[in-house]
Amino acid sequence: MAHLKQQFKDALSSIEPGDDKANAPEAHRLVRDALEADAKLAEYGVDPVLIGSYKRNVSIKRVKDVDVFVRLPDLPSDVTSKDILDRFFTVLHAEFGSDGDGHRRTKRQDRSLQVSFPEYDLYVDAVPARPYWDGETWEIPQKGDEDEWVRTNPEKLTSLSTAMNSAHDGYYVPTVKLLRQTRRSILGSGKKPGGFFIEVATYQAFASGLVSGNDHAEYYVSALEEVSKIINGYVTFGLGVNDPTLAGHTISIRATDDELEAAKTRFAEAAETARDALDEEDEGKAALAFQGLLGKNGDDETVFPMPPGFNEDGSKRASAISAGARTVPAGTRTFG
Amino acid sequence: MTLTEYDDYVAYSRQHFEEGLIRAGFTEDDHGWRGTIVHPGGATEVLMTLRSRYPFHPPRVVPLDSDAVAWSWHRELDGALCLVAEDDHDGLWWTEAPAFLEHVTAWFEQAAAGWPDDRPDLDLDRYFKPSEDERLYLYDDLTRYPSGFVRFRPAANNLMRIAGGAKPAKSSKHSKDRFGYVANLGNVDVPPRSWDDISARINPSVDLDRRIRNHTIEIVVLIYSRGSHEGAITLEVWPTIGGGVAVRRLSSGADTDAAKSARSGLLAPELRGRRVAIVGVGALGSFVADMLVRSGVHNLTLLDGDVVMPGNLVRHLVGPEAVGRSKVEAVKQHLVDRSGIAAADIAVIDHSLTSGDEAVELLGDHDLVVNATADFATTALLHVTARALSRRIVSAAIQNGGTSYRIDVLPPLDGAEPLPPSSVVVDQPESELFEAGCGSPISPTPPYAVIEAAAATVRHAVGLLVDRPLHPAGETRDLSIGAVRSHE
Repeated sequence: MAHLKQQFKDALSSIEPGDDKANAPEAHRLVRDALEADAKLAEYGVDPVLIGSYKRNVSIKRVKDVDVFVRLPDLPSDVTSKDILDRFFTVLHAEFGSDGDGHRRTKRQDRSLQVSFPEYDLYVDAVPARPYWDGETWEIPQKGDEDEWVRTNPEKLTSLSTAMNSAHDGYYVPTVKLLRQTRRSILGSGKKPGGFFIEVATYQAFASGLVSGNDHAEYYVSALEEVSKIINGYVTFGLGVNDPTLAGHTISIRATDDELEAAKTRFAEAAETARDALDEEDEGKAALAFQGLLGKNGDDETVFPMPPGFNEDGSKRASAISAGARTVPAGTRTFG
Repeated sequence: MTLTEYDDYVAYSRQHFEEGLIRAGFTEDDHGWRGTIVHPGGATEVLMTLRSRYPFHPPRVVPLDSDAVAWSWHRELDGALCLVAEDDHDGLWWTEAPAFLEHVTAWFEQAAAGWPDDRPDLDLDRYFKPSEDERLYLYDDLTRYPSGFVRFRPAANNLMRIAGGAKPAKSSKHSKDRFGYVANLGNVDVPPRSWDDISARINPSVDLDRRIRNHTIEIVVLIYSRGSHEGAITLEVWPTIGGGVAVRRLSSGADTDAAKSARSGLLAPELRGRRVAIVGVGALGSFVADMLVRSGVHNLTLLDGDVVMPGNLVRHLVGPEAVGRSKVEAVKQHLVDRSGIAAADIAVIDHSLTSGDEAVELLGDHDLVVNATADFATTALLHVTARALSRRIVSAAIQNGGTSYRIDVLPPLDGAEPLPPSSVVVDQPESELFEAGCGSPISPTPPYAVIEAAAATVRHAVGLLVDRPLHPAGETRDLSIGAVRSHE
């Protein structure tokens, strides 16, 4: 059984966003300031807040997207989803214009406006939102129809994540990071389902009470096993993944059938590999397995390091072999 | 091993051990690793730490509830379990957590069984913190002080030597003596760790506490026994403001014949009454004499007609203060001064052996004669005489320009053949060495060859003296450095 405490700490360090941690809030602030400066949006009570994986501290290197949830509590009911998306585009385009290559920095998305920050190599997604009648949740526009809105509650996920992390002595957030990194490693960066799906599945796994441990290794393996079951349930039986922010709702997942099948297979294999690694007493072999699961970070560096005493291929170094051997060949009954 | 390899070795050892602790259910907190040892007497929660010298030092194990585990000779002053004796270092076996935890479990099993077959290490001093007084306190035969009251007087080399007597009522303010009391704790099953523990074992009629509070007693010498062995420690004591007595350990040692001969070897008692004559106390013979005395022989006769020259010193027992003296007197003085033999037990004859009558007398009066003259005529004389008297001598010499030694038992035991000749024909004559003054060329024998030959000679001599000869004819040994020499 190998828990590799130091190596898991090192792995978490290597997937922790670096420069992006400083750049992201700056980009976020610029978008927020632009929106707040508009007289029309001010009339609607514009109130932008940070949401998303970055806010919940579950981002992994590198941070590519920062989400701004732009609350408009005083939006008149006659303003359509198309109207508000058009207004956002007008304001942001006026502020950010074009980049050095002449491309517009502001682009329309299905439910938001995306502003690029080439100097930081990241994007800010601004999502307009109007209050739902229950006074607690919100609606965001859905592109495609003149006036279509989708209910959401993103700030709830922030508080739920914080609470779950506290309930598990700070192991929830690191475990989400490790699973997002695993998804990227075994499915590929551009493949679906994405990191958000894994995060919500992990939350559901934790909420089920079946994830536990005393250290990162145990939590990682336990969560990976439960998430694998959740993915299998979804792909095989169509069991949806609960949206913890909206009772009775499930999250929507955009992925092809082939992608879903691949996710099911690879997460099942990953869970088995991880369990075997945890049970393995040779630290080098265990580390090699975890290394395979966690792959490379956004800077193309190996995420999980080899423990001391082992070569890069997981074999024991000569000095480590001698550690358990006779370093005093004379044995006992010596006198000097 | 480079430093990088060393760091890797140490980091690997620590992590490997910690992985083993995790498997055994230990968890890490700010103070170390916490876990439970299950043993026949129940279960004990312990805290384990890897000290900075790990893996070259075993882990430290402390019961979380210090008083839940009985105090004994097998717990340190700070409560840690005494798990590894100082001489138990075979292969750093504690780098494997399962083996170490098994050892800890065995500790609890032994404790529950009352430590059967316990080795009685006399290490009571472990249970007291050291004093700031770094002087060495020497005591002699403690039975010489039946009243118990003693004093320690300052002496050279930061020593404090024991003497009798209590502190006078009007002692000089300038006296540097420290006054003390000798107490016998008897057989100690559980080591005392405080003054209260000690006081409970001392005859209350002495009222040591009052004397300590009055500052008339500052030192307590504790005699104790463990099993069949007796030990002693010296403690510094003084009253505390709270009405108690503080205790600190002083460095101390026994200055007794027993202490000084305890390291002579197991055969020393058999050698005590033996009489040995050494013919020739030049380089080889001087070291032979010294080692025989250190090994327990306390009746010597030394024969040599030579005088100590400055050039002799580099491979001789004696030092520059002996230059000009006869070799026999110089060696005798050295042995009396440094090896603890009485002057009356060393006879000296300051001329070389020349007559058969003298040889007969030597062989008749001594259990063994060692010939270290390397002189052909003397060797022949002793050999013929020994054969005539049915006695044995040991004849020793450096040979072949200091590149070998030769030891002969003459005549060989049980009719054995003598060792074959061991002279080596030199292909190219070496340049001879001379010193100023009249004389033959001097030998190029290096000092280490002399000492090695002397040690081997003493081994053979001791073997004969206790009737356990090493070899019926003797021994030769090549001491050369370099090319292997061919024998004639």
